Amino acid sequence: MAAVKLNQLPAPTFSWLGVNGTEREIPDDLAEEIVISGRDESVTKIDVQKSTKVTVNGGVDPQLVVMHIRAEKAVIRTAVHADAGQQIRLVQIISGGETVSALQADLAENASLELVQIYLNTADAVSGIEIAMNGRKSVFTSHIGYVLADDDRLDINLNIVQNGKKTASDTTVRGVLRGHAEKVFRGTIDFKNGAEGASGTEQENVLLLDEHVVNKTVPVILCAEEDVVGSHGATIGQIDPKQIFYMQSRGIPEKQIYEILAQSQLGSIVKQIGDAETEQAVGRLLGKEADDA
Amino acid sequence: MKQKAQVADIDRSLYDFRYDEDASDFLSSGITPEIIREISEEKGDPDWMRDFRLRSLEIFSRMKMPVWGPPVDGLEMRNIVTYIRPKSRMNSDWNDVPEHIKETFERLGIPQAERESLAGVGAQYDSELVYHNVRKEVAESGVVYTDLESVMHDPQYADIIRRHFMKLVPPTDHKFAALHGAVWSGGSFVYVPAGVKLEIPLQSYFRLNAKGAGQFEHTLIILEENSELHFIEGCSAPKYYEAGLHAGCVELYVGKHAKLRYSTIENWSKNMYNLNTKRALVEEGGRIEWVSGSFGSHVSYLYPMSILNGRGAAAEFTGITFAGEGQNLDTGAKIVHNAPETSSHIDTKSISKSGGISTFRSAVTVHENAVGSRSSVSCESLMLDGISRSDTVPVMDIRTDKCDIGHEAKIGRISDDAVFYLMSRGMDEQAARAMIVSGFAGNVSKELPLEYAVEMNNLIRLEMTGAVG
Amino acid sequence: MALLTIENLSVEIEEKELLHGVTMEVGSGETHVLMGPNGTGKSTLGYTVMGSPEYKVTGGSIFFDGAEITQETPDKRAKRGIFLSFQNPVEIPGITLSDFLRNALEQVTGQRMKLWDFKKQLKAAMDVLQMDAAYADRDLNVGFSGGEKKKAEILQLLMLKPKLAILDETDSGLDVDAVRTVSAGIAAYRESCGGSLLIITHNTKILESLSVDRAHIIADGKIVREGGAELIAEINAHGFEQLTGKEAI
Repeated sequence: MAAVKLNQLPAPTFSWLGVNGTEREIPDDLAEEIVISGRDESVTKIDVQKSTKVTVNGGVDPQLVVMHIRAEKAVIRTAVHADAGQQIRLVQIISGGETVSALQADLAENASLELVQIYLNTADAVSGIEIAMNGRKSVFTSHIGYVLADDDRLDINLNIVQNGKKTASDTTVRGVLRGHAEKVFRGTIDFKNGAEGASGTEQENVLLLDEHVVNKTVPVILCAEEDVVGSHGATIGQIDPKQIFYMQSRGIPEKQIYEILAQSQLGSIVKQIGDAETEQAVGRLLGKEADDA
Repeated sequence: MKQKAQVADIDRSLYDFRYDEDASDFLSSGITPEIIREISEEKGDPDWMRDFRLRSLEIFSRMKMPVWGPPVDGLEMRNIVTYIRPKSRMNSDWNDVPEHIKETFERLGIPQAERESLAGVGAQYDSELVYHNVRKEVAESGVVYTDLESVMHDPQYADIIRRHFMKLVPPTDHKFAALHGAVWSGGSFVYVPAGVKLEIPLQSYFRLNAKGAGQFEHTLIILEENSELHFIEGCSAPKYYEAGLHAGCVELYVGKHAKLRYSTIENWSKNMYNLNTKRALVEEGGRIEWVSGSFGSHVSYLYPMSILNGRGAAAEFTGITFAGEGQNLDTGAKIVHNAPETSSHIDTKSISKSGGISTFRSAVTVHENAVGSRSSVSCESLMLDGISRSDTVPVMDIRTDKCDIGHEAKIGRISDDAVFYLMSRGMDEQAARAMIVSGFAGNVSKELPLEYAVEMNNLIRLEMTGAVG
Repeated sequence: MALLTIENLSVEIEEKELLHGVTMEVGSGETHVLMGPNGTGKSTLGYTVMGSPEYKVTGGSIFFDGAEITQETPDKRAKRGIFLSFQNPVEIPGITLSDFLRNALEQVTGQRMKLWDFKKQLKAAMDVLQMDAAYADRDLNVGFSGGEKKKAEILQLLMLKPKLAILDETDSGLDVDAVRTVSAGIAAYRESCGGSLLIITHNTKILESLSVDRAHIIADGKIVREGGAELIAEINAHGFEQLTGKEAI
């Protein structure tokens, strides 16, 4: 075990904000290796409960890989290779204890990766996502959702590197924080010189439901190319009082309104999973969370 | 275009300009307590100020350079020593000022007397008169507007200075704040009594050109309850200095329900490292408005900070940064929401051209006690070619649920459709692009007094026509 | 010689040919109409005459006022007296309509204008179009409704007084009252300087108040019929289908 620097912000900023990166102790060896090849099946579901290295290769058919990561303490490395024209959809449901997740993907010409990540009450999760869009016209779409409560911790570092011409990335992040939960989301779109015609957008929407939450949002755009269109947006805050009033006027008590809105906050992310069984399972987990609260 | 060669030459001549150091200055490679004592004595500092300088020097020598932001390794520390040696460098000759600088002044429409002053060679020409006139009018309203060095000895204000000087930006803030604390020289002190609302903007323009002021100047402004002031710092003509470092410090105290607008158009010569620190403390119901244009300097670190310390305090920051060839301008704003129902709005534009690098950097922090606060950030970047760079690095740190925080960032280039539209109405391509860029900068020019807005637009036109065609 | 002469013009965009050998003429002081179903090359012709860099001329030539302009940049064409009223004019934040127009006027005429004279002219032109004076100080086209944008285009036409005005679907998306106002603007333009008009449209409402000298029907990038004003009545009665083999949309 050694302390390793994780989630380094590609463009460091004011040190006192404490968002330039984090550190965790991680074991040197990984317990298990799983290779998912596009030739095997077009749908693969795996349950990850200990440190694992997962490799996902694209295939002839669009690939759907669903990983449910739930471990007391684990390091998960996921490598995704999408060759020319291949389409991969990767779903990662991350719950449980101390998790370090590192996802690396490289996209070749016309390849597409659709990533759905849902973090459910992670006690302490550090998640790094590195997307290398080297191929011309490659497409990366991600839908990231999180629900954190109590003393949950989540630290995400998404870094989308757009090298290829006419590459397109689109990221949507939606989350709910309650209790003493703490979350950092760093989202970087990095347009490299030569990425003519590239576009990238990112939007984070955070709902804060308790007075002791800590939310850090770091939406970075790096740009060394003229012919690009990039945009970033973030909205952070409480439930719109007008929404509360409207629902109250229809007879719904305030406490329930919070639950409904907290669930609906992630609803649009869950819908992106694209596998009915998993969607229902996540829906149940979210619902249970609501009942516990 | 006729202007092309001329503008390109300005940059070179600035780099090439020789300054006549004494060999003795090079003997010491750093700033020593002896030098500081010498400065202090020269200035006739009170004891507390001399001690403050020495303490700051100590802090300076043990603090590290910033680990983020543009590289500052090109900064020659011994140049700083050269500059801060207490002797006058204002006795040079207008004839020594490079032709190209003179031409720039001319094209910006700056009168001869002001040009000489801006170039640092002027005698106390008309502006002294203007300044005195301003001072008379101001004095009648009970406002104090004077230089910091003399007011330290005024029994009426000495204590106020001591209680406020570098309390908002302590020398421990960062390495260059410490340097400032050790070597500061020149600057302005403004005191606006309770209830006084000053109609005319005060312009430091006239003060900064005074002898010995400029590179390490300190601005201290105190607004008492219910008072109002608009303070304008700098102008769009290139401030022309020999040495390569500007480490000024601005401290603004905005009292309850007071309102301060602080406008700057910074156009230091393009050999300058501009490591400036500006900070405002805003009490209940008070308001700080920053209007900031950054055009000059080789490297800039500039993030005016607003600390909203009382209920309902508000901050507004409107900025534009134009980074051209050889420039790495890292600018933005910091807002601290430290009381309930505070609000802030940041609206910035940045432009990158001819290999220039512009970075928008911000920090919006909302503390647990800042319930009911609102903040919105909007930053837009324009890339004018494929060899430049534009980065956006904002951070939001939110620690209460009862708040509404929004952030919006966009990056792109001038649309071909817009250029065609303007050309179809008779403008050539260069004029069309310049017009679009001026429009892009409209957020700042709309906030400036007319004469400054005109100068800023001239400046943009100059930058735009310098390399096209 | 005609004011505008288009000879055997072929045009492509992103390697797709949109016009195939179009030939037509517009004489000085004349009113022409270019009609045809949607997506047949009407707007392409307007944009190409104005010199949009998006459209590439692959064959043929354009002459204006005795000079070949096929390769000229749009600003030079504007200075010669060509004006295009855009179907969807772009928004330019930070520049007011008034500042923009004054600048354009000085470019086109090559003369500086006194602010007072300019304001007087602008006010008069805005009155013709029943435009609220406040629009002069709003950023160019920013947040304007469809109808307001069209009016702002005609306002520029009135101020710039070009020799040839090409109106690209100026009537589309306007209600009856707005069409009437815009028509009044066009009439005022004709009256003030006797300039030529090339009206691109796929419906005929805007033509009611104008006396049309000649009509050109375009389909699939070619001129398929030409004639006098009677052609418009024919289209009103039978649609484009009979003339072009295609339905109007």
